[in-house]
Amino acid sequence: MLIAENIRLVHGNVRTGHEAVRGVSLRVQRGELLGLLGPNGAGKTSLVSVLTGLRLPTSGRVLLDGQPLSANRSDLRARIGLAPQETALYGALTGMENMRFFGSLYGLHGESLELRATHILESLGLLPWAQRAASTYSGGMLRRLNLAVALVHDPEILFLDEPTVGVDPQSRALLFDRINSLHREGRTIIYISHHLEEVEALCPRLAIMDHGQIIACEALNVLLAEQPGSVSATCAKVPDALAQLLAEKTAGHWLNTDDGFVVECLDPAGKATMMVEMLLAHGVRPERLVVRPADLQSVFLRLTGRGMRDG
Amino acid sequence: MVEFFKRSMFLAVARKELMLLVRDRRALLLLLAMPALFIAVLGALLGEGFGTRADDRVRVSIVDLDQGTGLLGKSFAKLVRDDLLETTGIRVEIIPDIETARDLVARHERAAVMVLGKDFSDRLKACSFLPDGINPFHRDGVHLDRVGVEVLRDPRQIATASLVEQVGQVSLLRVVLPYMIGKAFERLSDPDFIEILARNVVLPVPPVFRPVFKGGKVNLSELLHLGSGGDPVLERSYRARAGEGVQGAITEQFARYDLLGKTWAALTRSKGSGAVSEVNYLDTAGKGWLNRGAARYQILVPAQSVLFAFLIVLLVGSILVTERTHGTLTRLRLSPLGPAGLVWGKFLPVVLVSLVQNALLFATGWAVFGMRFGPESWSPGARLAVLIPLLLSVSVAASGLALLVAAIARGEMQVALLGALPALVAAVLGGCILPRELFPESTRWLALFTPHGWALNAYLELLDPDPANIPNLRQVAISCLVLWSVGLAALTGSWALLNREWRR
Repeated sequence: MLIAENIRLVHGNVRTGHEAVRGVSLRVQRGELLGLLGPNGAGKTSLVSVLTGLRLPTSGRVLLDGQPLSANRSDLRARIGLAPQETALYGALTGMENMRFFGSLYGLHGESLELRATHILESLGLLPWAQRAASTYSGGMLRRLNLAVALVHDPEILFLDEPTVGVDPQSRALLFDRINSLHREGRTIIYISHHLEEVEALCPRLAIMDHGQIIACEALNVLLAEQPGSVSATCAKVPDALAQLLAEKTAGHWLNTDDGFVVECLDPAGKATMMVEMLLAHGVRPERLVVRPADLQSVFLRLTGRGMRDG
Repeated sequence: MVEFFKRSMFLAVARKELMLLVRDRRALLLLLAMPALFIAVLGALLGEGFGTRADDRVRVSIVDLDQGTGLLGKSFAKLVRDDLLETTGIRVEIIPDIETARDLVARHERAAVMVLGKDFSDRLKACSFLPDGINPFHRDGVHLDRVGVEVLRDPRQIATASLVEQVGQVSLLRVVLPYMIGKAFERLSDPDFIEILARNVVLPVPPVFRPVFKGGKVNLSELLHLGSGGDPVLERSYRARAGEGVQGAITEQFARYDLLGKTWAALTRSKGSGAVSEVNYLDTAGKGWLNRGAARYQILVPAQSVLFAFLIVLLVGSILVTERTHGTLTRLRLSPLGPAGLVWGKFLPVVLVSLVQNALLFATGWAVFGMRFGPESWSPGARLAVLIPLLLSVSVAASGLALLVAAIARGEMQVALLGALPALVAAVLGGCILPRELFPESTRWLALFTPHGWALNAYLELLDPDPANIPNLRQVAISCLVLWSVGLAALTGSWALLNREWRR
């Protein structure tokens, strides 16, 4: 289990520097696939650098199976794999040579290294190009090789930082398959991404960061359940009294539109039938009913706001 | 086992670095070929005197073929050479043979060369004021042909040739004239001279002695005969005393001169200005359009070798900057490699590349530019045994400093500013770009604050243009020690910086 306890990270001077991570606590269970989300500048990369042992926190600590992670504990850090956001590879080396080099840094050598490198490259569809210089790879191939290198020493915990940036749908699908199979193998994966649909598709549990803090850390369905969806009805104008009644019954809010009305509420699918029955009972026949359940984007925007975060 | 593990990790980094270097063929070619190209251009363009202190003295080139003996255990040719050496404003160059002299004059590299023939001493000994001796003098000086001297002149440099000849004439006079005077003065005690003197000194006889001497006059010879009472031994003794008396009188009269001295210094009772050593002729100009074998390469090659060795910072700095910008440094930091493994893994291939660069440069210097390594009296193995540790020392210092800059710099611009600029300044101070001889004496010591200066000192000690000079190996060893210290200190500094980054 990976535990972060009250992590604080200040860049530069402790008193005057920028506080990138503010008291983050997090538990990642063995074999869990956790999505880490957050707008630009939320502190995700800083947190990952602490969780991987690349940076010492200003305060707090990181425990890996109960043992504190530090710069001196290369044995603990060797259990971690990182596929950084940039494709951290040597372009002049072939795919296989990149694998060999990074494998040798973890004490792998000889036939075992060859077999492992070959197996990983094959699983990521790179074996036919293993002897080609990485600089000749396409964006998608580089991303896959980036992941392959992170896997070469068979890490227990894998940090994937924006692993699908700039890849085509085929490569993305392959990467997803591979990540899912790694998860099924029991590997712990922390998936950092801006692509909400990817995280939604892959990660059963999410941590959302903003302003250096984790503002939500729940299972995806719990997060979604806490966020209201909507039911839109196309019909004649609904009297205000009826609208108010619907809102009370669904514990939501109502809004008249040009061609009908909208009710925002939790579990909109579960409440749609009741709404239709009430409308019919009051002589209003809806021509069309659209149920929109809560999605991650709405959850994300509700939690982090709609303001731009370029600064 | 742990050590082996650690070692194999840094060796993996070293292997990787070598692969990256070798695969960047263009960079490798520039790294290895640029210095040689630079040297070829400079070697073809620079003058003969490059790297040597400007010498305003008149050069008198001499071929000494004299096989005879003259005075004081020296040949007369040697006396002429010594006289020239003691002459202010003159430097003497000894050319080994007449063919070389003719060749130099024909190539207009010497305006005139004095050739002192093999019978020069014998001919000078034959010079005398006596009628049977060689009279070497004429209005302008010495008849060169009469004393066995030939002057080879370049018709294109008549004025300079005349100047050289006049300098030679003066020295010849200073050797021939005192010798002839001394020899003549010795003649004053010679029996033949006394006989002539005695015959010619005719005195009137006082009246009281007229019964003894017939006639009114008597010459000195008759007086001496009379004085000795007819004893021939006593008479010879009296004659000798007469000669000594004449000599003594002249000596007393001309007390400021030693007329018997036979040398200019003795004759004039003067001391020389303190002769400096002669310079043996060296073919410093070289041959062909590359001036192959020119002395300038003995300076150019090591100077450029040192300059480019320390410019390797641009390569190494880029290597680490690229690791940072491409994110591979993050991967290296996450691995069990550690900062020491990274430093050694980077250092070893850089030392190797630097060593190859330097070795290739010196090999090119030898094969293409005709430069020499070490004194001729050393075997090739001995020369290499001294040169290789020096090459290694320079590479260690350069690579260590390069890694230090790489550890400090965070971008290509910083590499250039932190690496190339100080390296160029140090190269100037160290004498790699401009010969140190061009600097004022008061600033030359600054070279010792640069590794370039120490490296060049050792190289120049080992690559002296004069093949007869034996290098001061202690100086070379001290330079090597300084260079290793610089390299290892810089390496430690780079480790400390990376370690701080690793553990922040």
